[in-house]
Amino acid sequence: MPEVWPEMPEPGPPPSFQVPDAISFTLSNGMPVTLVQTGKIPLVQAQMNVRTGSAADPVGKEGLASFSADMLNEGTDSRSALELSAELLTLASSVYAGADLETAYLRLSCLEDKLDETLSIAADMVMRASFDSADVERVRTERRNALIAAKDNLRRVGARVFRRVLYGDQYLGRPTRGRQDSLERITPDDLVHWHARAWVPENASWVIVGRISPEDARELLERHFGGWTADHYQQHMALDPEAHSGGVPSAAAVEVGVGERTVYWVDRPGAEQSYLAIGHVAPAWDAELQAARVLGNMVLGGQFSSRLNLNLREDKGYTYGARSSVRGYPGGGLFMASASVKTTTTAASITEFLKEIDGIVGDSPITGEEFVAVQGRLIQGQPARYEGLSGVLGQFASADALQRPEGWLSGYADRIGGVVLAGAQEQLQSVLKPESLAVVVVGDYEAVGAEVEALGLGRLVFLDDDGAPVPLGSGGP
Amino acid sequence: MPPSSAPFFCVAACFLTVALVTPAMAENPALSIPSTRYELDNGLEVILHEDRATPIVHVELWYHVGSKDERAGRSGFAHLFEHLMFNGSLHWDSEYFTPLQPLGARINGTTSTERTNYYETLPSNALERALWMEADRMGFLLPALTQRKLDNQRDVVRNERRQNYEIAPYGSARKVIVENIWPEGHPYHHLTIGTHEDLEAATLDDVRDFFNTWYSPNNAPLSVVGDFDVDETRAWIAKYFGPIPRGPEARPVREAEAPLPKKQAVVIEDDVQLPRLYWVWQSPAFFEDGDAALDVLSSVLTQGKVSRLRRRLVFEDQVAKDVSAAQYSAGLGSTYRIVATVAEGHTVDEVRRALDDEIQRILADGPTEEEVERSKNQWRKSFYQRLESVAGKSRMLQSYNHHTGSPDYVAQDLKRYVDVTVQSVSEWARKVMNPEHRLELVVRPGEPDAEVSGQGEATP
Repeated sequence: MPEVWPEMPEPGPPPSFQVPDAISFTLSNGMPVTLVQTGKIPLVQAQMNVRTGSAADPVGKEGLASFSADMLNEGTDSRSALELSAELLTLASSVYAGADLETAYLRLSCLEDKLDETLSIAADMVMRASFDSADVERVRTERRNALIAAKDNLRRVGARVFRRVLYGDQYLGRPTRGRQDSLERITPDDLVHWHARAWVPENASWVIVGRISPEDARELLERHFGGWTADHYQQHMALDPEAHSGGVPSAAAVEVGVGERTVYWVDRPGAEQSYLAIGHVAPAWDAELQAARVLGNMVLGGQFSSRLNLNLREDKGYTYGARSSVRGYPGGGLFMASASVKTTTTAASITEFLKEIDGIVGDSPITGEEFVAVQGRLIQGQPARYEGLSGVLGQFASADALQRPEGWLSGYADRIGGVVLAGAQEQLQSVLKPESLAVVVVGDYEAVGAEVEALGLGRLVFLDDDGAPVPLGSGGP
Repeated sequence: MPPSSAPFFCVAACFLTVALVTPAMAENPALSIPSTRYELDNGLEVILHEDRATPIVHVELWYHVGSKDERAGRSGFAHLFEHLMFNGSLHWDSEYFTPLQPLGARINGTTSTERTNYYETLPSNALERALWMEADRMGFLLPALTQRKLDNQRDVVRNERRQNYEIAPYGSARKVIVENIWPEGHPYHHLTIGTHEDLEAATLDDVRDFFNTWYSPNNAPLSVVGDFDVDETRAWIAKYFGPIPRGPEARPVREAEAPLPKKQAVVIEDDVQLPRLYWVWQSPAFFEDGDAALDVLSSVLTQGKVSRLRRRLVFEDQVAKDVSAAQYSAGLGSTYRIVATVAEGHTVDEVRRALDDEIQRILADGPTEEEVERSKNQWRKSFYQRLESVAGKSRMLQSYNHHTGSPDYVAQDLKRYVDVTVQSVSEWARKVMNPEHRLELVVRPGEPDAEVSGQGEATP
């Protein structure tokens, strides 16, 4: 052994990294395409984005966008659901449709020499999905079972209740996959009409990633999607009289961080842990401010070495992990800090969460060392996010779905690098409202309820798994 | 279920494209992850593979010790120990993440029945620091060890257990499966996460013994995959790992007797809405004859709506919410598992009858040519997908090295799938899915039993 162990080496200068170039073109029906020519394996990945998601679900029919997208996976006029499944498996291709809050999508992955056949199937799914009534009822049953099973998971119950508490029955308060009552209200006609209005070329775009040349990409997409028109669809389906409305504007009516601190309890007798979700409404996504918000939150709870995790996990041992996020969506946002904690530490954990949240906007603002660490991590961690086809597609498809401005991805390092400590601190001060926190507990009330009430945080409200108020003892599983 | 790990480098991608989808593919495809492999004087085995596609590099160590090597009364210890590896060593006595995360690193460690691995993917300029950090905890963990660290990580791990095995839906099934499929005293009879009682009993002396027994350069191959200069990296490895003294020869468990279990049926309760039915058998070990055929069988049974079990149970009869079949490959012996969740308004009996019907049918007639070809196509494609990342390639090199002694084993591995036939699937289905040696477990909604809970990988 050497007498003196060498000092920890300083890193060299960061390697140069450039976000891959994208080529943009439009199909003859006006559909935009983004191609990133990259990779060295013979696979292609692609995604078609549709700019209407569950945020536009009609009231009482929550889950419609997602249910309607599901039906694309269930057969076309010329292929039964089973035939579609067999054909894709034989090609070793996957094509799958679904919906999120603000967008619906069709994701495709295949061997590059099977792209033609795979796109042909994808086009059939998009333009000629059968919406067969027996298939609709079968999928309804599957979705009902999934909603029932979701109640088993404390984290999922807690996260859903948290959103409902903050947003009520608007926007983020409404689950993308719906509720049991809304699921039963959706009719086969609803599904068809939704699809006919939302899934139209004027409302859609493609992102494609692989070794494929621009010429081949254009030719293949043109062949299968260039002839897609809303008219084409209207001839095919019996449309309801409602006009095509495209991306329905999102409801954004909830004020940022208002109200008094309140504890919301979903009772789980006998649970070994309590799931905690603590936070409030945050501002909608903002191109200028998002970088500062993300950086500020990383110090609080956005990474392993964050204050919340170092305190609740690495110092106190109350949890396997504690975190926080500041999310912005087009119509609103969420600040949420969360952890699953040992039941007997529920009250103590809430105290530590509040201490860290109060602290970072109070007497323990972000330090210079903390700021440099999170800024470095985001900027230097950028290359790894572009690894492989999945990484590249993920970045470009997400920028496309969210309609980020031109140059958004390549401007990332400059945007993060352009934030100064004071800017990140200022965003925390403006976003975090410690006096207005909602504290959602999914856990054993009899075991630790009194201890939590003794913290004197505010009113205590009992909720069921869907976030509706109940008297204690009548809710829960 | 495709292995969740490693990628590699295509030497002849164009040829592969053609080969993958035509019958000519039966020829041995030219897949390879070429690596430089050498050993330091202290026994440290080094595996280097360059891939300059992205300016990142992946560093990984596989310590050849897993939960199968734990002594009685110390279940969960390999994993608890893994946690302590992130809490400081002599020359950096603080959180492991702190010097690396600001450089853009992704860091983790996992413990399985077989091994404990530690890794970081980071920009190429941070490679030297990552090697220094890994060397420090390999060589100098004990001088920084304290009772407080042990107590803290014990609490963290017990919370990991609560989160992933106790409040997790159906989490209690895993313990019942390993305890009933493997005999008392077998290295797989207990879960990697361990029991609360054993975790409570762990002492600082246990940590020191464990470190001195298993954590040595001669028991932990190092792989570096990605964008780096070979000569420079070799010099750093020599500088930081070279001075660490060779440890005693580690003797991980390499084989274990396991008579086939008698037919048994177990019923437990858990805090869930829908009942679930498990059928579990012992099956051939990782890379043994039958292992790949059983992977293909799993796709025939439950990949896609058209697969046998999904079609019958979920699509047609609609008695199940979901169904999956998988070969859980492991070094000393695997398990083959079929799991079906009962749909609302239906019963375990209905699911069992439909399942039995379909299994009888495939045991009697075997799969069709079309079904087997379709499944093989999926497996072939999965090899490409595993080539996509430096982390994936590293995992492949380490796993092949661990199980076969040869890091560049990808062509042989793929060939195992290419060689699967209707006959081999039928043969292995019949050998393994014998009702006389089947464990049936039913989890029904109710109050969970106190101390039934928790396999798979646990992370720090």
